Order: sequence, then C-alpha cells, then structure tokens
Amino acid sequence: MRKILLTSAVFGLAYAGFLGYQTVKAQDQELSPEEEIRLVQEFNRMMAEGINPGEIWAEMGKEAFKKYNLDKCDFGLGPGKIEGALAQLPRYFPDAKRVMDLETRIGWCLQQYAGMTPEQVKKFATQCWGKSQCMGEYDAIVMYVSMASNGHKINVNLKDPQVKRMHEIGKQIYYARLGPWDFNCATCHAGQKEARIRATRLWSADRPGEAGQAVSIFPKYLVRWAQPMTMHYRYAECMRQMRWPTFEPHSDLAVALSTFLYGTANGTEIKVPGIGR
Amino acid sequence: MQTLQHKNLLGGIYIDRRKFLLLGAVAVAGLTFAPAIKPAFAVSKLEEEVKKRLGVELSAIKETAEIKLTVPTIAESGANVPITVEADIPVEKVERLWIFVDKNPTPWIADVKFTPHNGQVFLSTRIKMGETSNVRAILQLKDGTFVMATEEVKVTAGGCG
Amino acid sequence: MATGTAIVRVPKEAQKGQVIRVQMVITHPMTPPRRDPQTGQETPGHYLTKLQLFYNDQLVSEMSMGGGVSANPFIALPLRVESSGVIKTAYEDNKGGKWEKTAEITVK
Repeated sequence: MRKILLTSAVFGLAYAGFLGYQTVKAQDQELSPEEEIRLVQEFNRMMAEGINPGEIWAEMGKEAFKKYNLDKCDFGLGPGKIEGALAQLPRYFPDAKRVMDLETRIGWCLQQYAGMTPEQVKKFATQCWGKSQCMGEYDAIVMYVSMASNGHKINVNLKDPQVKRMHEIGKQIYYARLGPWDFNCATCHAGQKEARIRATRLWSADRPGEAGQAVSIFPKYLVRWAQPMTMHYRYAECMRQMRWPTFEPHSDLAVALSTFLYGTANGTEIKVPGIGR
Repeated sequence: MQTLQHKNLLGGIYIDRRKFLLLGAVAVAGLTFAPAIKPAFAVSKLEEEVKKRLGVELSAIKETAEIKLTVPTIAESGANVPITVEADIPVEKVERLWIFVDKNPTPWIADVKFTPHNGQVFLSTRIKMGETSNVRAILQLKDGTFVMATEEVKVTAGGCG
Repeated sequence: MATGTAIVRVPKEAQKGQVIRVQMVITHPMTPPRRDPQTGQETPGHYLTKLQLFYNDQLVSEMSMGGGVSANPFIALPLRVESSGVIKTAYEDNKGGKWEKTAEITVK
C-alpha cells in the first residue's frame, strides 16, 4: 500500500510540474518587439487624450508672468508679446549680445525687470528639479509662454550669422563623445537605425521630423513626477545620465543645443504640453 | 504475468506492469482535479473588497459585452493608466459603476453614482496600477443585479529618461 | 500655485437633450495611505475623496475615490443638457480640502 501511495506521489509531482510549466509559459507569452512598440505608442496616445494636467501650470503662469514684470520682456516680437514667441526662438538679442532660447531669455528678463541676481534666477529655475508634484512659478511661466505658440510652426532663423554659429556649435556638441563614458546626445538620439530602451523607441536627429516631434511638445508633463519638465531640465537629466559635467541652466551650452534641436525642428507645429511617463 | 525487472525511483522495489499503469492513471486523475480544491483561507483581497463594498461574491458577477472597458494593453508606467468605461445599458437602470484593480494593495479604485441626468453610462479617468493585473468595471443595477467587464493591463518598466 | 487648482472643459453650445462630456482635471498629489512594514507606522495619505457634478445646482453625479486614482487626475463624465446654465464641479479631500470650479453652457 505504501509503495502505491509513494509512487502516486512521484507521478503526481511530475505531472504537477508539467502543468505548472505550461501555465507559466502561457502567461509569459513574449510580444514581438514591433508589437510591443506599437502598444506602447497606443498607450501614449491614450494618455494624451482628455486634458493634459500641464495646462494647469499655464494658468498659474499667467499670474506669475505679471508678478515678475515679464510683460516688459521682449521675446523677439516686442515687449510682452508671447503669441508665436517660442516659434522664432532661439534668436540673437542685441540688448544681451547673445543668442538666447526661451528659458535663457526668461532668466535674463527676470534679472532686468524683476530685480533677480543670476544666482536667484538659477535657484528659481531649478526649484522643482529632483522633486515631484512640485508647482513652481518658473515652470508655470515657461508653460504659459510656450502654450501661446501652439499652432505656430517652429521657424528658427538659421540665416542670422550668430544663430548659425550657435547651431554649428550645438551640432558639434551633440555628436562629440565626452565625459567618462564617452557618451553624447547622439549615443541615443542619432543614426538611421531604430534604437530603443526597453519598450521606449528613441527618436533620432538624423531621421527627418523626429527632432521636431520631440521638442515641439516641451514643456512635457511627466506622469512619473506629476509635473512638467522644461527643455533645460531635460538637458540636465540627460547629462546626469551620461555622466557629463553638471549642467548650468541658461548657459551657452543650453542655447547651443536648443539652436541645433529647434533649428533641426524647423517646420514642426508646436503642440504644448506633451505627456509621457 | 511478467514482472518488470527495473529499479524505479524508490530503488530496489520491483513492480509489475499493471500496477505501474494503474498508479500512473491514479496520479494523473488526482492531479487533474487538484486545482479545483481551493484551500479555504485563499480568498483574494479583491474578493474581500467586492464582498465588503458590493455585498455580493465576485464569482456571482457575470461578464457582459454590454460594458465596453477600454484600457491600454501595455502601460509603460503604472502611475497614470487611462481607463474609459461605456455601457449600452440605459443609465436609468444603473445605480453605480465600480472600478477595481485585482492586484493593487487596495483593489477598490473608485465608484460613480449615476442619475438619469447623466444621459449615459460613461467614465474616463486615470488610475494607478502596481503591477500587471486585471482591471474590472462592475455595474450595479437598480434591480439589484451586477454585471462586469474585465481587461488585463501589462505594466512594464518604461525606458530611460 | 496650489493643490486644488482645477480646469473644467465643456462645449460652449449644445442642443437640447444632447449628452455632452464634462472634462475635468485638478492638481492633487493623490498620495495613498501607507503603512511602514518595519515600524507599523501609518501615514494617512493625501487624496481626493469625492467629486460632485452639479448642473444648475442639481446634483447629477458623484464619484468616490482614493489613492488608487492618479495624481493630478483627469476625469470625464457625461451630462444631458436640457437648458442653458452652469456646470459646477466640487471636490473634497481627506484633509478637509474643498474646491469648486464652474463652466457655462448655452443650450439651444
């Protein structure tokens, strides 16, 4: 009798193992990479429906814009004129003797019209870096001014010699291998061959239209931090991940990259805010 | 009757062919029915919550094609999963819509009380999911019955950035 | 710049008897309650508990929710409009926070 029971147990275990293996195999059905990418794109499309929470920052930004006297700030179209302003940035500003992108110009105007020192501007601009659910006035101002260009097509004036120069510098930096890991922007965001990190497909500055799709939606609301991310914060994060030296917001490095990216994006319609993980 | 002259796993025990086959059959039969025997303590948190909030057993709620539950097949982030529920059932017949996520620490997510002034049964929102799990939309009808739609969402690790 | 800043979006005009979608979004951390597995200490969390949808001061729909809903949540609900008027959204959270936001609609 014992022999019968023991043998049953052995057979039973073997069969159970077989059943278990079948179940696990069925659950772990791997999707093909193409299918996975398509489904992730579908997920991002669904997330973009409805109202983007980032729009609330624009409402807050309207107040902050007035509070910090930015109605005196000339973004290239006259003092306080923001409709279409983002679309023609970066551009050269004779009063500052610099090519500036939107965030750099906001930083400069905060010094001119809101009495901030450069250190205070930096603190103001990075107030929400590393945080989540942070409702910062700087991010709100950038969102407010950026949204006023919705529907406008990016039109960086690459004929201007100063702008052209920054575009060249930005391009060189983009493709120059730097830092302890020999990384650069092009490590992830260049080339003709499609690259991805897990299920996220990476855009490439070398494939037409993709740089435009990437930058025309900034500031971008990020659900993992429940707050928007501006371009300069995006640069800072990329550089941190690449182990490049610490990024300074509103620096010439930022302007050079913005000139290259927005210049490459010429013709793309601005649609702010975007949304992603 | 021939005796199989081989050692089986129990070592040194000889067993004849008939017994061998009989044991095999018993083992297979036993294991086929084993999953049906559920230990009494293995009630899921989902089942507990459904019982607590709806007053019915989850197993008593039937799936219906009249509820259209739209969720992404893959969610790159579990923090903000879009969910839309629409139902063909007239809103006058509906008391409440319940949303559950099987594997969340708290499976109950939200519920919506409808009135005829809503005009239709519809909800679109964003929910949190801790891991790959079923999402359930349960309609509580005014006649006391419940119907349900279930969809699975695979929550993956997103890319860099 | 605060928690509880809301947007309500509805069509400007609609036909009598039409069912419109009321789209809403509001800033709120929606932090769920947590229990530290080591110390057993509980944090109550900070989340919206209720959303009420009113049409011309009549309560149309009520949504109960908790920390399982996403931060800065987007919510859309249907509304059958019979006459012109005011759509009001009213939120409450577990710390006594209360916020309202309205929108107007013209019904022909």
